[in-house]
Amino acid sequence: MAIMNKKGVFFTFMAILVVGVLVLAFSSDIYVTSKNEVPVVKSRVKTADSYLRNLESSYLKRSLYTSSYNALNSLILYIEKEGFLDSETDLNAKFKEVVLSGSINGKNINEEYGINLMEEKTFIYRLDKIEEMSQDVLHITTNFSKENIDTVIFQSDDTGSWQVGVNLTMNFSVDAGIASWNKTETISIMLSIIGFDDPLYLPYNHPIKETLFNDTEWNVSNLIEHIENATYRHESNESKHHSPSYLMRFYESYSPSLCCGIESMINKTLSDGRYKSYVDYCFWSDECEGYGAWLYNITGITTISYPFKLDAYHIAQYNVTSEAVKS
Amino acid sequence: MHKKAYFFTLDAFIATSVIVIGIVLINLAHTNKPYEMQTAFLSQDVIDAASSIKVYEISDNEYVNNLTESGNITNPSNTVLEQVGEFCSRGMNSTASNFTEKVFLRTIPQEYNFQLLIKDGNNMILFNYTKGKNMETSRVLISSKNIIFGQIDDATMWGPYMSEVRTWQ
Repeated sequence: MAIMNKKGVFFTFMAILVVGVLVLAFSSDIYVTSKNEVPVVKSRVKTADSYLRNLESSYLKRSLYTSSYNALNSLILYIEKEGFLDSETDLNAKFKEVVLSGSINGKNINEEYGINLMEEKTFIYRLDKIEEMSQDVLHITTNFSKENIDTVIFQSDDTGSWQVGVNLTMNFSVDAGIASWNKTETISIMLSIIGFDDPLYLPYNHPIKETLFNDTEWNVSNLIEHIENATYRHESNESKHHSPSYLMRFYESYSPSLCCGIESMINKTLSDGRYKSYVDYCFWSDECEGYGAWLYNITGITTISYPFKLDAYHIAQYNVTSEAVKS
Repeated sequence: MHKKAYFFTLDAFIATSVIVIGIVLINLAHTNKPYEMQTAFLSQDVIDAASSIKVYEISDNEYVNNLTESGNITNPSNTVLEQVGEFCSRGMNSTASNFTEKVFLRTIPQEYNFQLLIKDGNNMILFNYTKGKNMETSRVLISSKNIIFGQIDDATMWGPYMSEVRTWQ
């Protein structure tokens, strides 16, 4: 009887052991499940990080580049219709409005002026598209603070005379659920001005083209080629008699720009016989009045139908002193 | 007394059965894991590679070289996915399909099937490469998504589009 009782205890222990093994077996499933979540979390963070990097390094830059390119062309068309802008401040204000929302003074430039270059190409449109796409595709919530975007368009020693720079600063957040980012980002791009129309020549199309000649190569034959090809020259010396930069031409400023001044020569089409130096900014302003008392005809260029003249300063600059005759 | 021993024996028998069933179930679950993971890795690897490999880096592909020489590929610095997206944005869907086939199929193992979807809003473009089992009847189907976009010229940007790679066995 005692032995039988001991067997009963033995079987009971066996039963407890079996239950224990079963519990352990099921609890190990929970362990496996949470272990499997680790690569999922890792993958999610990796996806969000990759998206953020792509957004900053590529999408926002490309969006700003294309929007700025179209905005600059839109402003040229606006100037053709409405006249020059008031000042550098006005240029920045209007550029910001056009690049962000495709409007000027709150009015859509397509509806108001028939300028359709910004249709579905504004920077805000691009931000809306990526917000929508990141939510739909990656389930990542992206929010741009569109009311607090600052932009500035400029030319400086960094851009040089043949490019314009655009800086845009904004706040945005990216929320991937398990990780989120809050950022203030400044996006900087540079646009080549080659091919853009010169606002001073409007309504004529006079696209910016850089001359092939540097400042040590000027002579009368190169000057003739420079006039015929309607190219522009940047003055590389440190004289105070510099020409205005490309952006200054948007608000009809003829003041010198040491870093970024560019100048072309008035060609036969625009020549109207006025007694002025034919360097473009001298021709349309009194900026070159102090460049010498006399103007000079240039042998080999000046004719009766094309009364081309240069001031004393530019005769030396273009190395045509020996061809210059007082007019 | 006899009845008690009988009950304990039956108890042990049931317990042993439960253990055996448990072990079988655990083994079945374990054999499935690598199967899913490989397909998942393939899907993610394909989209990662296509998002990082530049077109000019595929110099040994005659079809790609022909497209570059004929001017259909204007920017060899595009990634493979960007190039597919650009073809779609220019309405060159058949070129995009051929390009996808020539570039991707060599890299996908024979036992896997592959589908690339490009979606612009409601407009879905599909490149489907099914060698064996249909997607609907497959045991494991893994999808990896990405956002693609690009620039055609100074004034024009395309996208953002959704790109999705689906792989299954």
